[in-house]
Amino acid sequence: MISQPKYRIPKKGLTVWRIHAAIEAVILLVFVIVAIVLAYVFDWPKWIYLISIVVMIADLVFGIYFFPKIRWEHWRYEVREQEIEIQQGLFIVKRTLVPMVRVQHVDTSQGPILKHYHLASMSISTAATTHTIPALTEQEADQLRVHISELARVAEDDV
Amino acid sequence: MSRNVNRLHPITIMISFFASLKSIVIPGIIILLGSGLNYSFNPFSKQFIDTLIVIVIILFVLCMILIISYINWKRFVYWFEDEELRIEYGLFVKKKRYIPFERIQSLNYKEGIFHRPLKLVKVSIETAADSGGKSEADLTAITRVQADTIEKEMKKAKKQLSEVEQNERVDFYNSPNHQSVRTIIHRMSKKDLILLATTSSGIGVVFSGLAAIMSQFDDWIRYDELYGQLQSFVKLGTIIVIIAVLIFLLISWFVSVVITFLSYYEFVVEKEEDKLFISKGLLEKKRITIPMKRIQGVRIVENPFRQLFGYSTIVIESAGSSGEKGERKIVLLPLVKKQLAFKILEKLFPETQWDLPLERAPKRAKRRYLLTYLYWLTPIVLSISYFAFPYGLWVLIILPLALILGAWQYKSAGYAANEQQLTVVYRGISKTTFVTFKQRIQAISLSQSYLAKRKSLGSMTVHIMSGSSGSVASIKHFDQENLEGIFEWYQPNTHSLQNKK
Repeated sequence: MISQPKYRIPKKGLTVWRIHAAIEAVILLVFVIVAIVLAYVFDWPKWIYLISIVVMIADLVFGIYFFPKIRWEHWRYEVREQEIEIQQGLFIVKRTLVPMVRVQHVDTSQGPILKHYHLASMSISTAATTHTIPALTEQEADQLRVHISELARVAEDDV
Repeated sequence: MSRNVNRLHPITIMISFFASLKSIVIPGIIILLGSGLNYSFNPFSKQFIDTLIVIVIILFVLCMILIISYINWKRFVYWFEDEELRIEYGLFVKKKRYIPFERIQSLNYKEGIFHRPLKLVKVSIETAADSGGKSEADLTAITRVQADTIEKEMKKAKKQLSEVEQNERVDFYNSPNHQSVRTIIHRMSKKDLILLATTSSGIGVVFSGLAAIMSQFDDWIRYDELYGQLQSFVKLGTIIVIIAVLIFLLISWFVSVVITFLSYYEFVVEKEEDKLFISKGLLEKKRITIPMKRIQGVRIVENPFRQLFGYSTIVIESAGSSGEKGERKIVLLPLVKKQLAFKILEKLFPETQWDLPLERAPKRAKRRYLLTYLYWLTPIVLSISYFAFPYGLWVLIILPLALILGAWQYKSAGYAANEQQLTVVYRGISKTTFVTFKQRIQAISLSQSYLAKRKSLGSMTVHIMSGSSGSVASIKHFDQENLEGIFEWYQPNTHSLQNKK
């Protein structure tokens, strides 16, 4: 049994996810309202009301509360001298190992919500894959970006 | 090196004319049909003027394409200077592209139907910087002599580079053995070609076989007595549809046989120094070059039908474009007996072991393999057989088939690793043996669902580079600790970098 990667993403990251989920919930709410109004106007069967309301409540409970929480609990990462390890997932927990020599470039990005909480997301790209750490504190993101770009050298062999 | 500017052969105009024609023909037809079918060639008809206008527009568009093709050809020049291939082109904006010879990774040749009678060739030049699966530059039609010149210049530049380092100069063209030896690795026999063509679309074969069997059933199932007149009318409709579908399948199978035959005709693999050359084709000849060091992995694919006869297909995954649009994977050996395939691969990759003993999926994983498809198939199948009773009952056949497929996948799956190499075997419908090397793997992921965790099973995905993006191989439901062993094998173990937070 290998030990898990050491670091969690900051707790504020969870808040950001919840805000994202809430925004999506608002969009869903619009659809639900449209469905209910249509059902009322055109006299559609009653179960449409029921399904719409159940979907909405399920989204509020799971989409905003449980899923981000579970996801946050599963999320771990660790940047070591020669490798990066990431663990993530909701129902299926996935652990990915990327050797430093395979890293081609690192990007950090920051949307308005992340910025408000002084967070940033970081993507690490290899020739074949991209791995994103969705929330890091700004200083940490900067530090890691510098670290990784120092450590990641273009491999001798072709790709 | 000469400063003589070269042009492409004028046939380029026709080639690009037809290429652009091909891309507008379908939207063109849609537009013409969309405007209604009121065309008339009767000079006294009301629609005659409209028809004339349409014809004039079509002619105008054709002329424009031709003119643009001509200007494009006129503006496209290339020459050799300072160890570089220099190209200038562009319709409105003049673009220049200078490619140093030593940077050229490979030259891919293609001879289409326009090229053949004029002894011309299309050369695609590839460098390491290829992006989006496109080659660095295409010379649409040049003579073979010119193509050879480029190749010679490229070799010369590379040779000089290495010889400057050795402080030694050799007159390249005068030295008798500057041509390095090119050995034939594999030449596909006619018998194999025919076998490849006829089994090229397995589904077609299966369906035409099924059709033959089904037609026998008709004789002793007496539908007429079972159903009334209305049903027999419906049945007639169904039969017509079935026959139409079968004819369609048969035709598509036949077409795929012909296409495969034409495109794999004279399939030859050669090796020279550290490069592989694959050439093939009857009407359209192609030759692609693959530098050995760009090969990221090898797949041995055995589809069930061919596996029955001990045949397999060898596909290589190479970084950079394969010289063929839309095809990331390069077929190295389209159809060979597995034993022969191993021999050829051993010759090409002497350090790789092709028959490592495999670690299999544990017994406790068997149930998960069997149930994989049943989870979501069962509800669908049951509802179809319920709503489309009684014919829908036929759909139930899928369930045992899915079970058998699951069992088969369980039996096929496996992996093996030695010092440098990782072999992963899995089956979708075809069995694939994927071989790659530690320094080629871009990332490895292990994943585990909650249920799998309780049984300490897990799945593994291996990412490598292929084409301009990536390619993956995964195995499911293996022992967690074993997979973690692979994880550790891949890990360049070191201490943690981050300080305490």
